[in-house]
Amino acid sequence: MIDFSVKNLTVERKGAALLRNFNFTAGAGEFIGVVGPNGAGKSTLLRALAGVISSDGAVTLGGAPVNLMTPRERARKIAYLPQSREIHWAMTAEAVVSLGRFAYGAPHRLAAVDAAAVEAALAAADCGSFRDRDASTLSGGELARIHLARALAAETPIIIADEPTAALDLKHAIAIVDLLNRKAAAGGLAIVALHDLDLARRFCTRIIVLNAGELVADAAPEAALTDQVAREVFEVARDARGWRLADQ
Amino acid sequence: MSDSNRTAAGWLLAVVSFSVLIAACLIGPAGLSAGEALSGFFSDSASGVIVREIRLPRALAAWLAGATLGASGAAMQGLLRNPLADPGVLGVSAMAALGAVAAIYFNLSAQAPWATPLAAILFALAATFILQTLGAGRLSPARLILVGVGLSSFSGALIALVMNLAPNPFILSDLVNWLFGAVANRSFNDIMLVAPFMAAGLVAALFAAPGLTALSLGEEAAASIGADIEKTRALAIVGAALMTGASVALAGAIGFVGIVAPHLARPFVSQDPGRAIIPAALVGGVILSAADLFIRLLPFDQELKLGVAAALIGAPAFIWVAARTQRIAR
Repeated sequence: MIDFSVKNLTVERKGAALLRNFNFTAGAGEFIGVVGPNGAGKSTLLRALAGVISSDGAVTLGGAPVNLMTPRERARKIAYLPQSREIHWAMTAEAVVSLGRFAYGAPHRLAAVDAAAVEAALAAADCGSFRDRDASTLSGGELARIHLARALAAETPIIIADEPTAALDLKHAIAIVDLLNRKAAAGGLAIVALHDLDLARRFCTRIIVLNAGELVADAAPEAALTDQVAREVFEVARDARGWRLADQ
Repeated sequence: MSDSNRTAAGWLLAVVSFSVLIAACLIGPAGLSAGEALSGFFSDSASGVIVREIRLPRALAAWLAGATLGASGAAMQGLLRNPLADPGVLGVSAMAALGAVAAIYFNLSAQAPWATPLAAILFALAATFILQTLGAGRLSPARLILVGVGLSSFSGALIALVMNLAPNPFILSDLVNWLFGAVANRSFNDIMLVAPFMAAGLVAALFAAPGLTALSLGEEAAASIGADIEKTRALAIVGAALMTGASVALAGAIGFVGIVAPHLARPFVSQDPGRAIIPAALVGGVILSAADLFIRLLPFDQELKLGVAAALIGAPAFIWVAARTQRIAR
């Protein structure tokens, strides 16, 4: 069972609130899409939920405050995929995925259970064909899958991912969102920032809409992504051919 | 590279280090035969004094100075995710040199031999303290390097000021000799003064090693996989400061070993910055002890300074590394 709760979460930087009084609870089986225009506070929310930035308010998992866990304890419960896909040094793809097991022991000598988790993650994210390649030579899509595999390898109940589909072609984007959807359906919790509202509508079980650091909607996809939200938050509207600017 | 190849490479570096040290004890202007030199290890004769009290400490000093510079460089590069980072880039070497220069200028060194190492180490720690305070431990790599450039320039200006104000040519000559970097005339006492700081610095850097490996993914991802970023940063910076201060105190300001040694060591450890620290130390030790041996064999009247020789080889190597580096840490 997962009992993830966020109360009065506020993130301030240099006196400006990036996120104000944010509340929600989430549990097993949910695939929550976090959507909103650029600068809405999506990344800030995910960073605060993952515990990699300081914040005010309470983020608890099973009643235990996430910010009081040691980095390793937290890493065994919450996997986080930042927007940046940087890999410094010319490490192999497999070495990057192995870092997903960092919280379980030494990064260099994987125990059998760790090696098995890395294998499973490489297979799930379809990275087998380029596992031995230098990560700096990988394409954007391959890099995204490697990072996803790194997060999957940690075998955490919760996965938080910041635009895992950014700059990916439609097939790879759908494959990644589908994978996260299946992880959630299997009893996990996925909280994922997405720009593609159609992908969010199709795969997420729940949508959180953010605008200017505030919660606008938190509901099932059809209820959250209404024409009104599209017009007022995203300033777009849909016609027979697809999205267009709202005021045209 | 497989694990067994890596182990073999490690042993090879250790054997080469040992061979260079032995060679340094066997070769020299006193013209001892190899047999005389070897027996000198175990006798109180004149050859014993030459081998044990002149050649061995000098060779060891060169090896230790190179090893600690290599290990410092590996730690700083891992922390900053930048193959061009080293204590020199961060201004730690320059501050350590300023400390030692001040100790020489104010005649403290003449009164107490430990004043130079102590001042160098204190100034190196002060440099890291400034780096930490200015960024409250949260400087981005690029900004940290810019602060380091500032620290270097400032220390350089103060060193120039001290030399400008030198009361007599003897102190000036002392300063210049020392600034060029040299291990001639080092004794076991000199080594014992700095060895504890070198050891403490290496231990700190090794404790930072797992975090440095995690930092390959950038700070946010490293934190999310369970690395303690603040602790890693503090251990790496303090470790590098202790090793750099001690190295500068022992051998003067010697550049580029901290950049070149980790660069040569990294292929042996699959580019893993955490595991590069020990190999970088071994490579650094080999580089400087071999360079010092080479200098001693040159037929010049005036001996070439170790720091000058290191820079003559190291600066082109630095440019080569810089030109090949595609991605600089953002």
